[in-house]
Amino acid sequence: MSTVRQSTFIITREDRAIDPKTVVGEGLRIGRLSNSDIWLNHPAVSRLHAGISEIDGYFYLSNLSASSPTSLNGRVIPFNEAEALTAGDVLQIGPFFLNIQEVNAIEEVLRITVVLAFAINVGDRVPRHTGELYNKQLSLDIPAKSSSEAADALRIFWEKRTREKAGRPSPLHPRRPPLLGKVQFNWRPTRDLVRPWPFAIFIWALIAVGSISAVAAFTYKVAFAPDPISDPHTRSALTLTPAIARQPNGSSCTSCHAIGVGIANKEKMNANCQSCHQTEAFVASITRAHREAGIMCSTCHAEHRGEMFRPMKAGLASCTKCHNDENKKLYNGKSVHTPHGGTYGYPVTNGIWIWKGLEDDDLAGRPDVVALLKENNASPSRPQEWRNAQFHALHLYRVQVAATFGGVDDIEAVNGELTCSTCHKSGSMGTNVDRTSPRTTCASCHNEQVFHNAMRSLTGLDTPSCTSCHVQHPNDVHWAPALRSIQAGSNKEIN
Amino acid sequence: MLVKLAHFMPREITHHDLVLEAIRNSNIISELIEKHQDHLKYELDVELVVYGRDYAGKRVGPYARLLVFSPGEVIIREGEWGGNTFYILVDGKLDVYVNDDRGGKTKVDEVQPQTSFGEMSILAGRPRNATVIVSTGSDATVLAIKRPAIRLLRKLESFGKLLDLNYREHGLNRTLMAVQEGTQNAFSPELLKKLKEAARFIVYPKDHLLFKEGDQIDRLIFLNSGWVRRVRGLGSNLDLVRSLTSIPTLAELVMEVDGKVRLDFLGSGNWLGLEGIARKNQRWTYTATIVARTEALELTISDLRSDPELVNLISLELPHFSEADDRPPESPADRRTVIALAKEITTGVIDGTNLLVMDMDLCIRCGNCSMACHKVHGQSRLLRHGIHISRPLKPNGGSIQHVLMPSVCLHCQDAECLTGCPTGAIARFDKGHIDIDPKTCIGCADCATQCPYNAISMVPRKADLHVSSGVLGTLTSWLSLAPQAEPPAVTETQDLLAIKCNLCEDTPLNPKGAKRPAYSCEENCPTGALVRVNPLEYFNEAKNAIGIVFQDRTHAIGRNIHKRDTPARIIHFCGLFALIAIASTVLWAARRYSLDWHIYGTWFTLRWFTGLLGLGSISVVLTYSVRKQIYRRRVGPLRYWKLVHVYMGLLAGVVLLLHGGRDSGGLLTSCLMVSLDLTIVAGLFGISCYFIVPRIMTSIEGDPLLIEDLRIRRHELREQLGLIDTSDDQLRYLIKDKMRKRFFSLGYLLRQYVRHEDLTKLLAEAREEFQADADKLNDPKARRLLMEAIEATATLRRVDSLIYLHQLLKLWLAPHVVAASIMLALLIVHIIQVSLFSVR
Repeated sequence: MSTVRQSTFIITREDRAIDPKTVVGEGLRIGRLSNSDIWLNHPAVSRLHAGISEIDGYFYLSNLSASSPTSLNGRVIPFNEAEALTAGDVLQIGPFFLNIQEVNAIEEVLRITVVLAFAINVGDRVPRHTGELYNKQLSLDIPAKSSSEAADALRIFWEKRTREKAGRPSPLHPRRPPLLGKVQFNWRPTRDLVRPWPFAIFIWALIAVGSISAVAAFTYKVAFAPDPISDPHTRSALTLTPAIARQPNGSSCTSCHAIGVGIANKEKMNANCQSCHQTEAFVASITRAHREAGIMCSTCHAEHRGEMFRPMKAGLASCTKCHNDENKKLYNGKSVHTPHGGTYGYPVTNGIWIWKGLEDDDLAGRPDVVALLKENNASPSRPQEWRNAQFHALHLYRVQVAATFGGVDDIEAVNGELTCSTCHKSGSMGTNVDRTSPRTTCASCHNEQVFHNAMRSLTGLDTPSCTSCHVQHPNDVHWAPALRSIQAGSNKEIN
Repeated sequence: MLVKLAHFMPREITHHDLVLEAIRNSNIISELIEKHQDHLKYELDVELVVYGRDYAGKRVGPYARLLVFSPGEVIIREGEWGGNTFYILVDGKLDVYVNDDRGGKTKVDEVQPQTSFGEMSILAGRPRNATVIVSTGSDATVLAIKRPAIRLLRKLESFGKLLDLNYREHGLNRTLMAVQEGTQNAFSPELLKKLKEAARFIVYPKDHLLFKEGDQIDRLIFLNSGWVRRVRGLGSNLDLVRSLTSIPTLAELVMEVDGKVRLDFLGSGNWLGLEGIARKNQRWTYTATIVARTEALELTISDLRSDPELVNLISLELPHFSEADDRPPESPADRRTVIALAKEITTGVIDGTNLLVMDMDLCIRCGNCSMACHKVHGQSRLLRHGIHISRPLKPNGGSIQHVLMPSVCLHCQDAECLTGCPTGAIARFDKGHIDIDPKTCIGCADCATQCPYNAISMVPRKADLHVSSGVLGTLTSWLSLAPQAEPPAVTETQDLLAIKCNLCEDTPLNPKGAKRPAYSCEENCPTGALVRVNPLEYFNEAKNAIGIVFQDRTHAIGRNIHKRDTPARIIHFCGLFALIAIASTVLWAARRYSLDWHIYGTWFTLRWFTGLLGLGSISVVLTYSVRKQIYRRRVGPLRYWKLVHVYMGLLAGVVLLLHGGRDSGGLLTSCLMVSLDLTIVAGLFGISCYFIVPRIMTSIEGDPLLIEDLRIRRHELREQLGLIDTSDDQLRYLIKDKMRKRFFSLGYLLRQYVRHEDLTKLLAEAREEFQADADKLNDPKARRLLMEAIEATATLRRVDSLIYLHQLLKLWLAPHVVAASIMLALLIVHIIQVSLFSVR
């Protein structure tokens, strides 16, 4: 602790016509209180605003006002801190300027002139860092102001009544000089009062997405679909003759989805399929077993599988999806199995017909077959004969001999249709008929691969498939054209 | 029945001569209109008190009004806060009633003519302690004098003395009443009278030295309000004791330097010096200094000794008041606690009645509190920086809580802002809160100057009215993507009005009869970081400093929602449970039965269920954005809405992901899913930022700063670096190359986040790193410049790192909001598509 020493302060007041005043004391008090050594009576000056005292040969200016700034050469001195003074320094306190004229450390004399610059609006005056003053500050070889002993001594000397306001700011706080006077209390906004994002984002998103969707609804309907719909459904004219649908779909979503309750309600949607696919050449009827098991159009012919998707192929592919041993689900209370136990499914075993024949419904759709059966006096009351007759009625003159079929040199073969001798190589009606070669001949058409639990070799409609025998849509004139004889569709020829 | 009659308004006598006459007749303030030679001695004051004065169109006064009350009318009512007026009975009879335990009133006294009443409430800042009713039979004429007049009237010799005497007398009675209550009426009336005779009521200013360690105990001191610091082990180093007073951080220093120094604080309800009663020639074992304006009762021990019964009773009863004063200050279990308490006391926040506290570890710097304030009051009164205290949550615990007391009114018990007001516009209102009456405020900013917390600001009297820009204007504002402009700052100096926090009283947020007070800032804090609390309850380090008897003394009950937030816990529990339960059930069902499994009827499949559930969740999620627009109504704290928002958002995300199943859907549906996922991912990123970033920030920022302040500081530091003269080649190399490479590296930036160093340590290390280079410089000036450049650059990097953190907290908002907007638009398209397909 430094010893108490008296210094002399000589104050000239330019703002008042009074003689220079000499103050001798331990320190100089500057403030608005009337008992201050330099009494600066202005609202922008704190009651005890600043003090000057001498320690170790330097005069220090201490800022004792937390609310109003004290600046030295344009630099604001932080609250409760001190700066050393040299001759030529300019202090600003409120509207007053204090010019340090002379510093005589040896005799401990400090000469100050007080200037009142009141004409300038106090609030508008913003002290600035200027390069010149700043460099002046640096060029002076002032001892480090934070010499703790000196600083503490100053603080203890200026033990004050002023309340600590917000404490000393850290170096992260802006040093921007606070506004002087009452302007500092004027309300100022912060960035907090700005919304981080404008509501317009939502509006614009709505506009953009809405217009894109609207355009897509007319020109790019695929955007709304899970996957493109098959090519036939995108056409705007019927290409198949005779037509199997009443009207072309032309990529419409709503012709399937819209009537009744769509998407999830498969039954209603399938009703839409049926109502459109209802022509002379095609009726969307299915076997009773399938109908009762809840199988619908879309079960086999699912849509939204891409442009190149063929509904008919998919229909064939879907057979083995259900009909395999691994499917443990019960349909109509029955289990399903790999077709024909995984074999060709030759209809006769040990001379007994194990093929059960067509259902009544199926027969009803085939008047030509019925006529043929009637011709042969076959009747359901004699099951073995009935099955035999049915089987032959289905094949004989109704099926084209496949191109790959080696072909038997048979005089009866006309137009490549299947005749008796196509399969039965020798003998005629009666006991000596050839029953051996049909077993191998079948395989020529009913390729083994058909029965495999996979759709890998379902090459198309030119090959016999599940539906060759288990016909799903008997009224379909387009069904297996390559396999059927020309007359097969019409009953006249047979009759 | 008396109370019912009391709603008649008093009749005012406006004739100035009659007012002057009343003043002349009242002995206590008749000095005001005394004449000195030819003119009035206090001419200006008389003008202000009786006539009122115009200051450039701004009306001040008159402070005194002559009122005539009818019989049965209540003039002041016990427990009310209307502490802005006191009265002098001119003519008539007034009865004084005090509420008794049974809810009734007991007449205790009569007011004598020409005496004043009601001034204690003004001086002590307390509610009225009695009810004054006009006696039946005749009217009473009363001079009602506003608070600012006291300042003028105190100059009058007789009134000043009377006021002082009354204040002491009143304070003494009040304190003795508290003592009597605290001892459950242990003192008989005679003993109480003796106690009163022996006691002095003293108000100590801040920094007063009560006694020194080693002095003889000659008196008992009872602290009725205020704070005392006790230091032990400093010996007679009075200078050090004094220096502790002015700089709170020195308390920290002293304890660091000298481990033997013991330091603690005592608040109201404590007796000091009880050990001096039991034995003679006891000495104080510690030094006590007043740290905040303190009301104390002092009893000289030698006086007491003359009455053994009294001494006996005192040594028996008084130790019950507090356990703290039985023992001298000890080494604190955790110094950080003491340091925190020191700061709480010296800044005065502990003496607030309703303190706004922000837990900066939870604060996400969104500024919604300021916004909420702005929306309610027109101009925000909440500046998000101010007094910052780091306090350990538990002594010796690892977790430090960083609390910020922003520059908002804390409704001080002993409010300094009230003292300056020339018109009495600023006053304590009926709920104990301090508010400014805009009708009488003249915008002199005296209150703002007085307020130690910068909690009062000035706004134009005529606020800019929002001009409606018509339909077209509204439409353009809806479409404008330009960032909003800040509301304009107040630049004028004429015709202003002071505003401050009024606890949202008189706003739709606090309708009449509301049980729980609601504060817009607190209601609209999305994380629960901001609370308005009773500081004595919140800062539990002060708990033991307050005497047991006084511990439950509160005017405005605060809640610590950081710790006990039951609704938030319930939402967390339900949210997690619902999320897991619903998600796993749907996932299980989808795997077991497929999405097209019919749950009910012909069409309600699992896909419909998930879709509708997702839609419902999204609607709930959206209510948050609607809630965020509502500031002026009480619609439940935002933090709960936010939790619901988060959980419902997650639920919607999970459920809608399942709704899609394995199908990617069409282009629009895919976009819908992608934007939904993006929204959720951005939101989750935001939440993780909200958890992590504030905690990193508090560990490195020290006092919390606004981003705009940091930006200004960055600019300043860059400017300062630009100004450094680098004409010296060696210095230029060091600054431009070596230092730059070191501090502007990514590693140095990341180090700020990883090491959690305090800034002084960072700067010291930076200086040390370059010390060797500095020593090589010959020119001392160059050395100083180098050091300055190093400090500025290291500080700049710290500022940068903080700015980036601030930006990170907002960064996720843009993708979240944009993706959510696109998602919603696509959702609408999807819904239209589905309903078209379903219903047409």
